[in-house]
Amino acid sequence: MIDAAEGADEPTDLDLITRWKGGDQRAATLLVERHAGAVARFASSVGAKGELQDVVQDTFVRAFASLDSFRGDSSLRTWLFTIARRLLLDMRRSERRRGEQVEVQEHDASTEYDSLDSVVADETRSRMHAAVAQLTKTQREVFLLRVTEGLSYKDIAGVAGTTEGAARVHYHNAMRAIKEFLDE
Amino acid sequence: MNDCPNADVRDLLPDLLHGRLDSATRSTVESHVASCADCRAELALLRELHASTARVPMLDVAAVAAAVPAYSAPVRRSWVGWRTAAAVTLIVAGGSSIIVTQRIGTRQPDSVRIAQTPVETAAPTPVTPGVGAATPVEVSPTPVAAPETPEPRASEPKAAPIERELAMSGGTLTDLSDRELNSLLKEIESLDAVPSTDVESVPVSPIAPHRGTP
Repeated sequence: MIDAAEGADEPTDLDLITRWKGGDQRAATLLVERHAGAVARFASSVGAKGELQDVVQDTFVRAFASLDSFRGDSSLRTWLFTIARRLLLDMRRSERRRGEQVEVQEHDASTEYDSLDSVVADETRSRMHAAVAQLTKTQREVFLLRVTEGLSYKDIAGVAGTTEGAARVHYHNAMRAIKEFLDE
Repeated sequence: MNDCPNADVRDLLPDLLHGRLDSATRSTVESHVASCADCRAELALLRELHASTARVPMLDVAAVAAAVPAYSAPVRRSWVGWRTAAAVTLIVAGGSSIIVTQRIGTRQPDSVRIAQTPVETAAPTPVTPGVGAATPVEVSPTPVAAPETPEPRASEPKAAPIERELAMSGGTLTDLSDRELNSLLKEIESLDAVPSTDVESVPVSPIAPHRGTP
């Protein structure tokens, strides 16, 4: 398998990181522009709603503050997903401690996708959103990382805190559930 | 929609969608897809799902970029720094041990004298209170006699020998002869009450009870 995340004539993430460390703040902006959309999409898929902007911003601030510890074992985007996911988990725990959080159930289909449905004109796309929205939280996270973001099972396991085998099972269960939903 | 029984190929369909397969693997998967209706249908479904879920939520990317701090190199302690710190710690700890040992050593005569108090009270020559430093030689010569005469005379106050011995610590050890000093040192070595300076023997006695050894 190859990593085709960056174009041939574009600087790689590592190039931009090196430039940023050399004082080129524009390189940091390019990295944000390259990955912010995917981070927002992922954060939305795992439950970020009103706080989406804050989650994405905190993710990048924390990532750049600790870029020296980024070993490059996975892609920068995968690492950003991991940070975003931890941020969201921390926020949910804090909310629960303060009693502000309504527990999100595993089968709770109320996600950002529901609100997006109203602006998706195409009927096929609406059906796809509905098919993804009816997945369990874990299935949805794994499926979107696999299909939307194109991550390997290994990277998905790293982001979601599970094993490659479990990620593969979640993906195939999600695929089967989506097919059944669309066949109804 | 049915599932193709070739799970390996189905596993690679998302990678084919994202162009993440090397040329050999891509060729294998594409040739299978070309001949498999189920995989073609699944790949088409994946394309639709990708297109419909790849929409980016509303986000102020400029604000995110503006929040990114400028790089500041982390302050790291070099190995040289750690070694220096370790050396300083060792010197301080070692120096402290030496000082403590020396202090203990300077107190040894007092300890010895106090420990020998019963011996002195059992000495044949009565001790006169107030004699003080003038009669230091009476301290050590007859330690063996102590068990035989454990009780001091009733008329003699117990505090008197101690007071006398303490009074000796004013430097009158120099008045002892070499033979007396050697005798005193032998007694010191034979006494359990003398603090040990043997480094290896220190951890043995306190640890043994914790290990549950009888």
